[in-house]
Amino acid sequence: MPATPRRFTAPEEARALLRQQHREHAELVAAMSAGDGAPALRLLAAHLLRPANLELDAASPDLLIGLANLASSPSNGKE
Amino acid sequence: MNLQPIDDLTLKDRVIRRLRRAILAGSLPAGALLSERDIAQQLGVSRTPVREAFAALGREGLLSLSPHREVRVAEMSPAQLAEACRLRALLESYALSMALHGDSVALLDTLQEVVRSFHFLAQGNAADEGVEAALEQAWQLDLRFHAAIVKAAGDSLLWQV
Repeated sequence: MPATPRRFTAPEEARALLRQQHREHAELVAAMSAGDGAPALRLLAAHLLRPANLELDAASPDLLIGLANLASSPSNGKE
Repeated sequence: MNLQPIDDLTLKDRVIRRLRRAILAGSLPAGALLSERDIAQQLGVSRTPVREAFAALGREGLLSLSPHREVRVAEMSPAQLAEACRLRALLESYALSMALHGDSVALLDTLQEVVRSFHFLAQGNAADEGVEAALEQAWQLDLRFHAAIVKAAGDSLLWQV
């Protein structure tokens, strides 16, 4: 089933999308600046799931497990 | 002396930009069949840059090119979109975790610069130029933002993916 094509006929809709994208980027950068690894990972994942209308907590248990593992693994193969 | 910047985009790049804007804004909807000749006529260019632009946008995943030389705006089912988003979220989260465990000062500088540019765009200043142009600028900034994260992971295989 093809996805319904997005149409941005109204400039207001495009501006709302831009504001949302900007807000999500800014929140992620703020979390990173604060040195909060786990919240930053969650914010990034939620941001990337949004185009598919997926909620991080409700729709992606496997992803949550993966994020938890990443957040709790300080070296992540760097050592 | 006030010199204007040189616009060094090739004709192919200009066609790519014009088509990408139309796709991102939805004026060329998913599944739309594109004719090399019609696009060339509409844009007032020869067919060669249009053909090259089709190939480039095919590599970006915005167009699907069939073996029979049929070119359509790429379609994605809701299930495919969800799958792609989940996979990207996992890969990019991995990239961010790698980046955060290294020296992330340069990454933060880049991301903050993108956020500032996005702020200007989101205020509606750039949108006055037109919805399509604003969305294309947002696409470029978003690409830069996420590419910086993946690059900062320092994993060449992940970067290729």
